[in-house]
Amino acid sequence: VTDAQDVVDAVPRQAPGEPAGWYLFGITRWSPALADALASLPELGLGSRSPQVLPVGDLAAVVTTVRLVDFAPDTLAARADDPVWLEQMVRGHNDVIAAVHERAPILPAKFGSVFARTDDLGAAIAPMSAALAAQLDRLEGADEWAVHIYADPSAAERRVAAEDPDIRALKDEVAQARPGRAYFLQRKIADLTAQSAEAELEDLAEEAFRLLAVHALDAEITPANRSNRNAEGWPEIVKAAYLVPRDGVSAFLQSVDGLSSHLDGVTAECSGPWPPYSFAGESLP
Amino acid sequence: VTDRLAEAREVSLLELLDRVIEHGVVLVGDVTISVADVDLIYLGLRVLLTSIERADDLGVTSAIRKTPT
Repeated sequence: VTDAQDVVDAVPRQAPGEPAGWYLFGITRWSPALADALASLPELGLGSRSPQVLPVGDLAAVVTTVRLVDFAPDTLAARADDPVWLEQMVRGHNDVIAAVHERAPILPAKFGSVFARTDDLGAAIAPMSAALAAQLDRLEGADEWAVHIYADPSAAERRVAAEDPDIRALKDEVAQARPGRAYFLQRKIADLTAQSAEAELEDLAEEAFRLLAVHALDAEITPANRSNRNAEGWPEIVKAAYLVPRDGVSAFLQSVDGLSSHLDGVTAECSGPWPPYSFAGESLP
Repeated sequence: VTDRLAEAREVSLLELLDRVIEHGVVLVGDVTISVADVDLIYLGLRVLLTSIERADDLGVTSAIRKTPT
């Protein structure tokens, strides 16, 4: 039993005569060479057949046939809490998109888009084709990189404690205050330090995001989750995606690795190259 | 080596879910059956994402540069 056979059950092939649909992976430019390349790949994605490339004008839909029964609301509801099935589906979806992305620009479709007939697919693509083609031009030769940036909160606190004039003035006051007042002032210093450190982290986040964006065609920032931490236990201050041209990848990765030398107590980690998931849908009607 | 591979696999699934849940081009056709309409699937994906993130918080994985596979 090979690995490829292990995944074939995510979406079984349809039996002859069984209602079939077309699972859409994404939109690319029509190219016979791409169609041949995908057809010669082993079974990829959703454990179903090799993906097909259906021409729609100058564009093409990357699809595979699926059993409609597998996408009926009842079936999906039953599988929604099956992590193994969900993972297989999501990985299958990505495997095909990544295989196309290696060869040509692709706009990944929303996960789980199934069409009943190819005519419907063509009718859905045709009116949007100019916008889709423009998006493909924009993504030509570029990859998405996922970036997480983390900051050491105690470094930020030390910095504001040393530099913030209000905090320094309060500290001078503490030195001369009587015990009761000194206690009150210490509390005030702690509050102010926490507040300033938070503002400092936000400034660092913006600066770090911009430093990396210099090497990107486009960048998208999403709210960071402070409870995500790196190996040092530092909280995440930036979660971002960058669209990076392939001929500029080494400069981008150097600036990711070198971020800590530009910003004290800040590190970045990244994964990629990814297909341009975060940049495909922008500016579409 | 196996641990590192497992780690990379988790990281790539985490990043992948993040991308797949939030993004993608929507084509609307008359006879479209879209999982997008079935909120339960997306709810399932979010639960999966959260459970991996939680494992991440416990130090089971750490986001390191890896080529997604």
